[in-house]
Amino acid sequence: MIDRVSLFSLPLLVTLLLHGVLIWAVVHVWQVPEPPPNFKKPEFVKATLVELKTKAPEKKSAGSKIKKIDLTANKKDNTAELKRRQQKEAAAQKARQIKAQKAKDAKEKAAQQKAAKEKAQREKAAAQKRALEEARKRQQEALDKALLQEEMMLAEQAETEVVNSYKAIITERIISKWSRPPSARRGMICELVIQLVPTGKIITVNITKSSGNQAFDRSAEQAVRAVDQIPELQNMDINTFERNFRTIHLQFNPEDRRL
Amino acid sequence: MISRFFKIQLAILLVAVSAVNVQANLFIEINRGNDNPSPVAIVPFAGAQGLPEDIQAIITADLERSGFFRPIPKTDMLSMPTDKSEVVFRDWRVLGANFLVIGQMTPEADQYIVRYELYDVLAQKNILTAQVKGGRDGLRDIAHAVSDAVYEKVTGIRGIFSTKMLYVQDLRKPSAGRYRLMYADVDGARAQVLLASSEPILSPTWSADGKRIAYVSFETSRPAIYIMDMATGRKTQMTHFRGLNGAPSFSPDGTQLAMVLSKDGMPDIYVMTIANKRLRRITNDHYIDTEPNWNADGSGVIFTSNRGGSPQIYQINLSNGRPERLTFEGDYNARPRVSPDGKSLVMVHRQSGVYHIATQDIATGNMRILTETWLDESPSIAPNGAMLLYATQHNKKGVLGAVSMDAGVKFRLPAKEGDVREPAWAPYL
Repeated sequence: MIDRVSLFSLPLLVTLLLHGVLIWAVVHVWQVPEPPPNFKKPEFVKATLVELKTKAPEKKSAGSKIKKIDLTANKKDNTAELKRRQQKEAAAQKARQIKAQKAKDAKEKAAQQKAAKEKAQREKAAAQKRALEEARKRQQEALDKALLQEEMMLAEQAETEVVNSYKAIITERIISKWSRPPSARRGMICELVIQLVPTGKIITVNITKSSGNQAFDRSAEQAVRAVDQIPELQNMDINTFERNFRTIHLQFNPEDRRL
Repeated sequence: MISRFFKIQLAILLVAVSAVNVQANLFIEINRGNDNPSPVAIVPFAGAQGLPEDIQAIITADLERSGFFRPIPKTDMLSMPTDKSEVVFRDWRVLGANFLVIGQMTPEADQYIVRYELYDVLAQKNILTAQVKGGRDGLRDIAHAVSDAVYEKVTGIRGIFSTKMLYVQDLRKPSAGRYRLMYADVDGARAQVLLASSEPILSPTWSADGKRIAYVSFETSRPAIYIMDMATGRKTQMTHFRGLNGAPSFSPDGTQLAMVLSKDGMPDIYVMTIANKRLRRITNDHYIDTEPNWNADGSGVIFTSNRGGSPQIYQINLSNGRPERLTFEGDYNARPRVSPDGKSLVMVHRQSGVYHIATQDIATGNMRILTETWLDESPSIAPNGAMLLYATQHNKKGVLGAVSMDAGVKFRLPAKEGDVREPAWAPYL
C-alpha cells in the first residue's frame, strides 16, 4: 500500500509542479497583446476635451455677473457715497480680475490650440500614411488577382487546345466507323452519351435521344462500339481527362447525306 | 501570407467547379460517315448440309449485293455456332463482324422449318429471332426470306431479295424461239421462259399488284401491246393499230394503260381503259412524245419528248392536260421511271456522248449520275426504292447491271446466253 503511494508520489509531484508552472504562466506571462487601435482612441478623446475647456471660462464669467447684481441689491440700505465708492472699488477690482482672467484664459487657449493643432497634424500625417499603405495594399491585391486570373486563363486555354485536339481524334475515329443505313436521311439526329476510362476504353454507350429510326440509332451506337478504345487518351494528363473525357455527349447528324 | 493561401485554394475550387461544368458539356458532333459496308458473319445453318441449295451462300450473296453488307468468308470463322448457347461474341468481334446470323433447319414432313437469329455483335445482343418455312423446291425462297429479314432489321428498309424481274433475251440466232420474255429471281436465278418468239419482244412492264404484265410483241408482224395474266399465263392483245404500238405502262390502280401510238401521225401518248379498250389521246403535237410512265398517285403521266429541241422529260397533268418540263440538265434525258415514293426519277442521261443512268429529285431538280458504263439503258427501280436494274454492254454483249440508288454499289448479274435487255423489277407481291 505504502509502496504504491510512493510509486505514484513522484509523478503526482511532477504533475502538480507542471500545473503550477502553467497557472503561473497563464497569470503572469500570458499577456494578450494590446490591439493597435488603442493608441488612436485617447487622441480622439483628448481632442474633445479641448473643446470642453474653452467652454468652461464662459460659464464662469456668467456666474460672476449674477453675483455682482446680488451685491448691489444688498447694499442699497447703506449710504450712497459708501455705496458708490465701494461700487467703484468693486468695479475696478472686478475689471482687474476680469482682465487678469481674460489674459490667463487667452494664454491657456493659445497653448491648447497649439497642442490641438500639433495633434491634428500628427493625426493627419498618420492618416495619410495609413491611406497610402492601404492603397498600396489594394494595388498589390489587384495585381495578385489579375495574375491569378491570367494564370487560370492561360491554363484554361492550354487545356482547351489539348481537349480540341483529342476531340478531333475521337471524331475522326467515329466517322471512319459510321456506316449509315440506306434509310438514313439528312435531318435525322441521334444523341448518345458515352463514358470512358483513362485507358481510352469506351465502357458505356447509351442512346439519350433517338432519331425515331431504329436502324439509324443502331448505326450510331455501332460506330461508337466499333471504335471501342481511343488509346491516344492514355497520353493525356489525368486531370484533363477527368475534367473533359470521362463523359462525352455525341450527336450523330448525317449532314453529308444527299437525301 | 494566409490570405494568399486562401486565394489559391479558392482558385483551385473555382477551376474544379468550372471543370465539372465542362465535363457535363463536352459535346462532339458527328456529321459525316464513312459508309463502309457493315461486316456481317453468316454461319452455315445446322441441318443445311447436303441440300440442293447452299442457304448460307445465297444469303451471303444477297447481303453482299445490297451494298450495305460485307460478308465475312466462311473460311475465316473461328467457330460455327448454330445456337445461342454457342455464340462467343469475342470471336466475332476479333473478326470485325458487326452482325452475326445463325440458324437451324429442321425437316418437317415435306417442308423445312428454319429458325434463325440475328445478333448485334458490338452491343452483344440478339436483335431478331424468326422462323421461315418452305418446301424442298423452295430453298432459295427460304434463303431470300432470311436475307430480307436481316436487311430490313439492319437498314430499316424492306428487303428486295425475294422479288422477281422480267427481262428480254435475244439469242442472236434466227430461230422460232430467238426472242424470249424471261421471269426470274432478282439475283438472276430460277429464270423461266414466259414467252418465246421468232419476232422481237419489247418493253415488258408490271401492274402495281404484280398480277399482270404488259409487253409489246411483233409476233403478228406488226407491233402490238399484250397483257398477260401471271397466274394463268393467258394473253390478251390490247392494240393493233397502224404504226407504232409501244411502251405500255399500267396506271397505279391497274385500270388503265398508258401507251404510245402513231396511228394519227407523230408518236403521241394515249391512255387506254383496260376494261373496254377505250382510248384517250393525251398529247397532240408534231413532236415525238414517247415512253410514258405514271406518277405515284396516277394524276399525271411522265414521258419523253423532243418538243424543246432535244429529248427531255415532261409531266402532263391528266385533269387539265397541262405539260411541265422536268429535266433541264444536258441535251438528252429519256426513258423516265418514277421511284416508289414518287419523289425521284431515274432516266437515261447523255453526258459527253455517253449514256448513263441518272436520278433526279423531282422537287429540287438535282440530278446525280449513278452508272459509269457505256450504253446504259432501261432503268427499273426496285420496289423498296433503294436499288435499280438497268441494261448495259459487257464484252460486246447485252447484260443486266444493278446499282444502289446512292451509287454506292454496282454489280452485273451473271451473263446469259445471247443479249439480255429491258429489265423490269417486279413490285412486292
